[in-house]
Amino acid sequence: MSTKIPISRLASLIAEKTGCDPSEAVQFIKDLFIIVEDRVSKGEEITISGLGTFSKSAVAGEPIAYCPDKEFAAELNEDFSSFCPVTLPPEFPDEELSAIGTEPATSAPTTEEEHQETEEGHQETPDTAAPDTASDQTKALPTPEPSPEIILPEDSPSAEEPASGPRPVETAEEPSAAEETDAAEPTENKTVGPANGSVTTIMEEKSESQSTCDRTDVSPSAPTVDLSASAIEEAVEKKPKKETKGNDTACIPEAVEEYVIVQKKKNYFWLGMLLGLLLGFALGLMALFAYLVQNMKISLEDLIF
Amino acid sequence: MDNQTLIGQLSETTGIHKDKISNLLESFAETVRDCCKKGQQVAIPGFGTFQPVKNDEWISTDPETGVRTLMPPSVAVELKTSVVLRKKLLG
Repeated sequence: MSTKIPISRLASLIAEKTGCDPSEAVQFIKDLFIIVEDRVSKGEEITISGLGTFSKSAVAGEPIAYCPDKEFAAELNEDFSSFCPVTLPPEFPDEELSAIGTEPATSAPTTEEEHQETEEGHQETPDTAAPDTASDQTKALPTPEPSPEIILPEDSPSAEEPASGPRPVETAEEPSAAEETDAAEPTENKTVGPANGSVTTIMEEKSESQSTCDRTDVSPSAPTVDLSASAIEEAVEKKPKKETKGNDTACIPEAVEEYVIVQKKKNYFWLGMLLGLLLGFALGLMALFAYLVQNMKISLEDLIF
Repeated sequence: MDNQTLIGQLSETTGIHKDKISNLLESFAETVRDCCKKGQQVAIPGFGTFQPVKNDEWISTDPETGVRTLMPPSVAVELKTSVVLRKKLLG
C-alpha cells in the first residue's frame, strides 16, 4: 500500500524548503484550494505551474477534473521513457499475449522499486521476448534423467567381485553346478554377500557330504574357498565370540548399570508354606508331649533327663 | 486563471507578500511532484487526494486494419476528490 502524506507532513516539507513556519504553510495550502474550489465551481480553469490545471469536470459524479502539467507527467514517466509502442506482427501467437490485457489497466504503485522492477521486466522487446519465453518454458521443464537400472543377477557367478573373505561355494561354481545346488537350496544363491556373518550361517547349515561334493564342482578359475575343519571352527568360534561380545557387561558402562534397577516380584507363597509347616510341626510336637505327659504318666523330669 | 493571477489573489487573501506566495506555491508543486514520483499519495483535506496510478502495458488493436500494438506501461497522476467536495459542488 502506498503511503498517504497528510497536510501536516506536506506543510513541514514546504517549511523546510522555504524556511517559513509550518502553520503558515498549512494555512497557505488551505487558502489555495479554497480559491481553486471557488473558481472551478464558477466554471473557470486554474493553472498552477509545475502541478497542472484544474477545471470543471464533464464526467458525472466528478466535480473537478485535473490534468497534470507536461513537465510533471514527464518526470513521472522518466523510468518508462525508453519504452515506445511496438507493432506486433500478425503471426504473433495470442497465447503469449494472454497475460497482457487489451485495455489500459491501472494499478497504484507503491514505491520506486516497483517502477524499477517493471522497467527491468519490460526492457526486452516483444519479438525477443517471445522466443525467450518459449525457451524459458523449455528450460523450466527439466528433462527427466534416465534412472540407472540396477539388475541383480541371480545365477551369475560373482567372479568379478574380489574374494575378500569366506564365501559360499555356490557363488564360485559354474552355472551348471549352480543349477544343481539351486534345486536343493535355491535360496542360498540369493544370499550372496560380502557379510561374513551370513556366510558362516550358510556354511554351518550345510552338511559335510554337501561340502565334499561342492569341492569337486569348484572350477579352477573361480576363487577357492577353504572348507577345512580349521576354517569352519574359526567361523564357529567367531559366532560365539560375537555372542559373548554382545552379552559382555563391559560393553555397558558400569555407571549405567548402577542405575539399572531390576524390580523382582517377591513371591511370599513358599515362605508362608514353610512357616505353616514349621508351625504345624511345632504344634504337633507340643500335642504329643502333652499326650505323653497325661496318658503315660511320665513326669517331665524323666522326659528331659 | 493563470499563475500570476492566482498568486495575486492569494496574496490578498493571506496577506503574505507575492514573492513569498510565489516561493510557497513553487515549493508546494515541487513537493507534490516529489511525493508522487516516490509513489506516495498527497491528501488535501476537504479537496481530494493526488495519487499516482500505474498503467500496465496493454495491447491496442486498430479496428480497421486489425494491427495490434503493444503500448508500454506508464504512470499518471489522478485527483480523487473528497466526498465533502462532491457533496458541496454536486449537491
